[in-house]
Amino acid sequence: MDRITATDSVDTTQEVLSAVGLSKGFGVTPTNNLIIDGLDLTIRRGEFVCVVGPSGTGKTTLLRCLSGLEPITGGDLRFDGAPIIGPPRHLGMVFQDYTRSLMPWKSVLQNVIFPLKDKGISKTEMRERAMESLAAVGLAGHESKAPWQLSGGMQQRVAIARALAYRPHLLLMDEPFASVDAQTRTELEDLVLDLHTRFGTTVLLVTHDVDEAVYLGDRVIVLGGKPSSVREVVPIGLARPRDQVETKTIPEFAESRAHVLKLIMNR
Amino acid sequence: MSRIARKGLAATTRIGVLIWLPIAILAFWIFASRNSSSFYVPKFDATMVAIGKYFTMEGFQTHVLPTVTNLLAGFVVAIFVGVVLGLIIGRVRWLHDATAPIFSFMRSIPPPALLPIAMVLLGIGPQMRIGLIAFGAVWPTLLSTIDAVRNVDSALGDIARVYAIRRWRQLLHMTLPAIGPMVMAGVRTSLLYSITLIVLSEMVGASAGLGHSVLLSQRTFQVADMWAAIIMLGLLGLALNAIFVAVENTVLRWHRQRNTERGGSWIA
Repeated sequence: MDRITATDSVDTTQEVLSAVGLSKGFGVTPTNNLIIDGLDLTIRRGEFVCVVGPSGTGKTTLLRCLSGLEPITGGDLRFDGAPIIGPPRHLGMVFQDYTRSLMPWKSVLQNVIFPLKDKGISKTEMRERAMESLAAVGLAGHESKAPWQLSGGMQQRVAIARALAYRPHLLLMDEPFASVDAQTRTELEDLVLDLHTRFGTTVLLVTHDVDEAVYLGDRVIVLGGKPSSVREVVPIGLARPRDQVETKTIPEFAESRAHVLKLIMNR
Repeated sequence: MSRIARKGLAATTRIGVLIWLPIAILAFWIFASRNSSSFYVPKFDATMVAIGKYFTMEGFQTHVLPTVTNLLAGFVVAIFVGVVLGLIIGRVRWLHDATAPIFSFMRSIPPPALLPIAMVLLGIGPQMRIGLIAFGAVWPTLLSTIDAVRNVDSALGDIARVYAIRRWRQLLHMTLPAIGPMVMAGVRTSLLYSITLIVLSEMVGASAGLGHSVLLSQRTFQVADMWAAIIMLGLLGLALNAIFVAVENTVLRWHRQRNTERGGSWIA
């Protein structure tokens, strides 16, 4: 077992994130303008859960609510058992647009170390964690570069390394591979799977790509409806470790994929 | 032709391209003024002598130093107030909405028009000059800081919140660098205003300084001295701009380098 572990306790049945009857609306009277209503969701330690839904269902809005960046309009939302008011301390996040989430005036290493500051971690340990994470995402040797000197895929790796070094109880990913090309996308998908296996990181990944969701997840939560809620939770029975070529030839992959796709298309 | 010779020729050509016109103008000035009978045309030798006075200990202290110190004092106050106020107003929505119309008006007043009231309020000593410069030069920096702060990418704020970055660290390591390019653009304009205003304010009631010298020489018909002072002011402006560019290049090195590699700006 590697030295880096994402969680303190190994209780895999513990709920990291739980939402009951979550609703979110905007405007002067949000309750009259609900985007999300009656959404129930549970993420347990060690899981890899994907969220999919038709365009416009408010996947990003949901993620912003779950991360505490947006206040919810109604319902019960807890992180590690405690109600969420603002982003929880042990939450990490990777956004879709890496150019906007990395700081161009800092080096790759400084970007990864940044969230660790003021958290009571010694300088040596901060640096150690950062270097380990960068190595884990395959960026050893690139620490002194500026983010904009790297390719898109590499920049997203920096963002992932930053989240990893933070050792969150839950890693939220908002369409993290939408802005890279298809080939890089498969590389990054496998990278995240690898990190999940090695470090036991709990992941909640939002994506519009059904193949990706089925390939990556233990469960796929399908959103739907207006206002949106959970349409169905599809368990994925595919064995791990997964493989981009082999797993996708298994009949069960196609079945799960078809099932999810039908749910999305029927609204 | 050998490689070294070719490189030497290229370098010489490059320098030649840049300096032939200044040298031509200088030569023209020297020869044309030598036999000129016009009173207002500066004679080269006389002008050089007059300029030389500014480089003596006494000349420097009496004339160059007051100009430079008052200019810098006013300028520093202007940019400090501009940035600090800009940071506050840029972040507090109602403050921005409340001050926007007033600022719009104030920044439209040509700073020279404020000279009379500056004299009334602050007299004619150095404090008037510093005050006038501070008040006139604050606007470009203030307004570009406000703009920059308001346009800082929300993604930065999300990162700061998710990763629980302390407020001061956010300010120093995220906000300030992010607004850097836009603020520096404002600071550059503030510098220009400061130079204009020190010259202007020295023409009224000062007893020393380069601006004062220009006017005094003109009134006492010391033509060479007048031109010397004007040239000195030009050199001062040049020096200040060079320093500014050097500072900007250091502070914004990341921005410069990034923009030469790909087009884009951090401020959304």
